[in-house]
Amino acid sequence: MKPLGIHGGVHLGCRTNEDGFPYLSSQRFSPPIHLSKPYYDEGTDSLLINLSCPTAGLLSGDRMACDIEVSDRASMVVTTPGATRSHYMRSGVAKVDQKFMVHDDSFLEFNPGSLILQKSTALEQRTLVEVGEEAEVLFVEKMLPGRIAHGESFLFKKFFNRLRIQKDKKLVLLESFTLEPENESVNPWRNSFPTPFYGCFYLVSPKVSNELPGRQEIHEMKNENLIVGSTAMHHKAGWMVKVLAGDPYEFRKAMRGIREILYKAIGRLPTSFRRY
Amino acid sequence: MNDPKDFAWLGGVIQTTDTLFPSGGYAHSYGLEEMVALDKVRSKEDLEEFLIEQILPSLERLELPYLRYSLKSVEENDLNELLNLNEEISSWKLTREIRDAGKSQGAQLLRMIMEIHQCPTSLEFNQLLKKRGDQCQQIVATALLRNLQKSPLASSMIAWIYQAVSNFCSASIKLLRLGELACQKIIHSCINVDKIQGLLSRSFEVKREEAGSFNPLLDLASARHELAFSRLFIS
Repeated sequence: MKPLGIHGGVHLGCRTNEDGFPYLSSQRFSPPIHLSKPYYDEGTDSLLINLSCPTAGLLSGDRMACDIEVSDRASMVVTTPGATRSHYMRSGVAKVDQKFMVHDDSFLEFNPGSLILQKSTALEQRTLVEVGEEAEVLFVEKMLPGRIAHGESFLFKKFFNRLRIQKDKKLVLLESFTLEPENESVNPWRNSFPTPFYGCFYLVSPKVSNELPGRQEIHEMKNENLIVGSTAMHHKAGWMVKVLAGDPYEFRKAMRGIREILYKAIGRLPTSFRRY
Repeated sequence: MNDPKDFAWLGGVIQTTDTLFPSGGYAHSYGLEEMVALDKVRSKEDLEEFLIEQILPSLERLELPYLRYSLKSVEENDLNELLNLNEEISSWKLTREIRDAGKSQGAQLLRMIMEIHQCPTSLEFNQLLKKRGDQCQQIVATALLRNLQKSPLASSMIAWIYQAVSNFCSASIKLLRLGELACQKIIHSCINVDKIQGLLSRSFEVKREEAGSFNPLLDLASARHELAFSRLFIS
């Protein structure tokens, strides 16, 4: 039987025009991805892109490639209107390959909605982030172990995730794991809170190579339903901020607050995601 | 009886896993201090569960495979590949304290190897690291040492597990006020034959592009430890 699934994705290039405004210099997309009309945010001088998914998520056999390049002093923010669902799969696996290249003096924030690992899903995700010596990136991952509001938690089959961040061709962060609720690989996450929401910010910027302004403020957010912590990346390339929360309210609040602190630390203004 | 020559490696492994050997491990808790502060590890039962459910799986899928890859590179005298592995290890040690602990213990171990054994491979590797302005990770230094001692792969891996577990137990004496007997019981339950055999056989299967583990809670504990108001350990 011919394997089912959609093979598609998105390729975007962002540069600045003669007047110095960021614009999409190249774009190509195909299901399971659809692209919103780019919005130029005057207040932050950034181009906002919303990637949506007409199939409402990833299904067995889907192959999705996301390839984004920012150059020429452009600033770009990429998000999604909602969560990305990796759906029920009787068999097979969905695969996502992501590549981000940010050249000197340019900025990219990639901050999609949460990835929801639904019952019986199997997903492989590989991400490469290449950052120029004078470039800046804020890469964000959010992950839920199922449709928690429906009482579904840690019923997915398998999630493989590999993130590689390189600055000026040097490896600065390698995070790789395979989660299978059938074995002990999920225990540290599962045992953190009864319904654990996970998020992580990876900020690469030469402006914060020695210290992260607002770091103490981030650590002080901790409460009985929220644990946050920040640490420097290898080669002083930037900072990683992890978040574990026991409820969605604390999670959203922390993710919003930390984003603002990180933007402030690199002297930029956060672009509104314009989700209404 | 087996030929005593078959066990020539054993003396060296015992010497270098003994607490008298200056590995620097006693000064580190590898995140345990903050796990205790966060109330996630409060008793000997919690410690045993933490080691069995969180640390051993991470050894199986990450540290032991990298020890194996490093040993292979040393055996093949592929020092450029060993440099790559050293760099990868520093990159997957996600928190600064854990990364720095690996580097300081690795540098110390490499110094000891050069002082005691005058190992030419280690001397050459040290020169390459210096050129790059980098430090040796403990896993890589251990691979150089075990290769020199001609320790069998499985024995090198078991020694690594023992050292990892005993370091946590050693820290727990101060952090949880555990006694020596409690610690030895925990070490025994971590390194008993059944557990080790399964762990090693699964670990042998881990490919480099898939090696890794996920422990956000321990990452957070280690990251928070960097700004802790008071602390007994460096990490």
